[in-house]
Amino acid sequence: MASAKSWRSFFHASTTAVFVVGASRRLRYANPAWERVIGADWAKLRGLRLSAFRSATPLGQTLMPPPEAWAGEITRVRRAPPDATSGPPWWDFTFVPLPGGDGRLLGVVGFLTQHGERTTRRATGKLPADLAATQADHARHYGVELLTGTTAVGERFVNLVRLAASTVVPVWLIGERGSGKTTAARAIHHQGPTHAKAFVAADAHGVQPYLLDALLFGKGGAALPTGGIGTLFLHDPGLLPRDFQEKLAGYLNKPAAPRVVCASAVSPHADPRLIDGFATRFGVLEIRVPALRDRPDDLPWFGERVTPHPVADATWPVLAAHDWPGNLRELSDVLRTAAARAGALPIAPEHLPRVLRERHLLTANPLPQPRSMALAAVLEAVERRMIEDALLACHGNATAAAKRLDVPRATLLRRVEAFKIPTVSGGGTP
Amino acid sequence: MKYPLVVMCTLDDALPNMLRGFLRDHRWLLTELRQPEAVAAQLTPPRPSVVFWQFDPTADAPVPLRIVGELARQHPDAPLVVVSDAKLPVEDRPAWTAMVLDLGAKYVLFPPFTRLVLEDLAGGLMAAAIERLTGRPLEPLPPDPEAIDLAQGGLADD
Repeated sequence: MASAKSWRSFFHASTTAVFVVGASRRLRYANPAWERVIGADWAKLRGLRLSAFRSATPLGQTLMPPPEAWAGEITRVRRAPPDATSGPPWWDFTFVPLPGGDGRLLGVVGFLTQHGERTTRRATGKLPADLAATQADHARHYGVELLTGTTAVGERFVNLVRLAASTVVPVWLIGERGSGKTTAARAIHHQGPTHAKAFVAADAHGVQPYLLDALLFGKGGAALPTGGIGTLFLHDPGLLPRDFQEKLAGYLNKPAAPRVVCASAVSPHADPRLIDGFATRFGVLEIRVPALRDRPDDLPWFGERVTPHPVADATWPVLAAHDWPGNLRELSDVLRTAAARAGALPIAPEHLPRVLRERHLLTANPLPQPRSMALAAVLEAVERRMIEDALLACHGNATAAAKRLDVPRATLLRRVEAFKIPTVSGGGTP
Repeated sequence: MKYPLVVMCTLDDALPNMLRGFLRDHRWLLTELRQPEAVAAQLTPPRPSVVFWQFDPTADAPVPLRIVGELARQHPDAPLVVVSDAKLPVEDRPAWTAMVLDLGAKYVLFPPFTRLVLEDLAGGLMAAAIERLTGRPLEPLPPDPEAIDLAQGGLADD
């Protein structure tokens, strides 16, 4: 059995930083490699109290094994050195608990490795020059041609986008979900006078207001004067809390504020969630983004831009039969999924979702009109049928037929005349 | 609808570890990647997805940032959260934030990271993605039976 002295010499020779924490949460051992990483003398830190509380020293907080380790689990954690709130460098700890024979924990062994080098950076407030090419390449994908299509509806819409891009007035895009509002906003920005600066989208869908506030106005947020925002795109600003709307409106009313493009499903003047003046201030030019169902002839045009995969001619009528409530976003999802199913083949109708194929079948073969359920018509048909059956059974004898139907003969003759029932000649016939 | 997916392309497993329990509670899948080029393959076919993408702004630019733009263009429904591995000086951050947002990212995070912010971002963006795909809002998780509701206790005292 190894003595205490031998395991210490074993750890002492190791180049991995190792330290041992006793059950009393105090530092009991550390090897020379640990001293090199920590940059301190072990002799001065012997018995250091390790605790997550602020009453402990910063080093004591950093070296403290997590509760999982004290619960008996081998645990890995990454922490910043005590003099920094973040890395690099990072300290990666592996804590191995040391259970005793009676089930009690004797202590925890910590293995420490340093990841990354400490770098001293001076603030420049600028980006590396080669990133400008990346940004310019990205902007090239958002031309107005992306929205054009081949129909008059599309042409009218693109003309309005061009008009918006030629000015810096606030624009409000109104359209259904998935109709391409964000793409239109990007086209307005990249073709407009503010294109040299950044396009920043603040989407209230899914990002909590406090996070948006931090992103735009926080420490180092994008809205600082050095941020260089050219266009601020607010997607459904009615979702934002009213105090945040006030803050945004105050910031955007400043002379050096970026251009504003908003988007929503309804007109800003009909949105009660907006604060007073918000719609008037930022809805100067309203542009309605057409829904895909309003431009069905543009389906092949958009299809070519969504996926380079070839599409069979028989597929377009199936796509045209759908009313596309999700608009371009839905079309994109459908075509990309179909392209994955088609493999090397062109996208055929059988690669489309079943609901689209069934809808196309119903459109191509409409159901027969349901029969009339008017009571008078039904009674009339029944009466006519019974008179015909009675006359047939009585070989055209009206007297016998009237007796069979239990009506006067004159009544039967009036009904026969009214229904224009053909009669046969013979005794007793009408 | 396919299971919601959170893709985390990070430099190590520190960020995924912070979100693992939260994602397990919601029964959302977690995919951990190290290669940025592999992210796009995870997002096909379309499903509710959120992407966390970590990079070192002092070392990796600009090639990985080109991938941010491509992801945002090809998968606009998968919100992308860009996470900086380095804590930049405060004066440098606005330019980086604006540039990454310009490329199509939904949010930008700088260290230090807290579990609360990561959970709020992942949960909020995934809820919006699910609502966008299905048209229905995400149902909230049932309350934890072991949690102590102080407000409820106060009402009981009244």
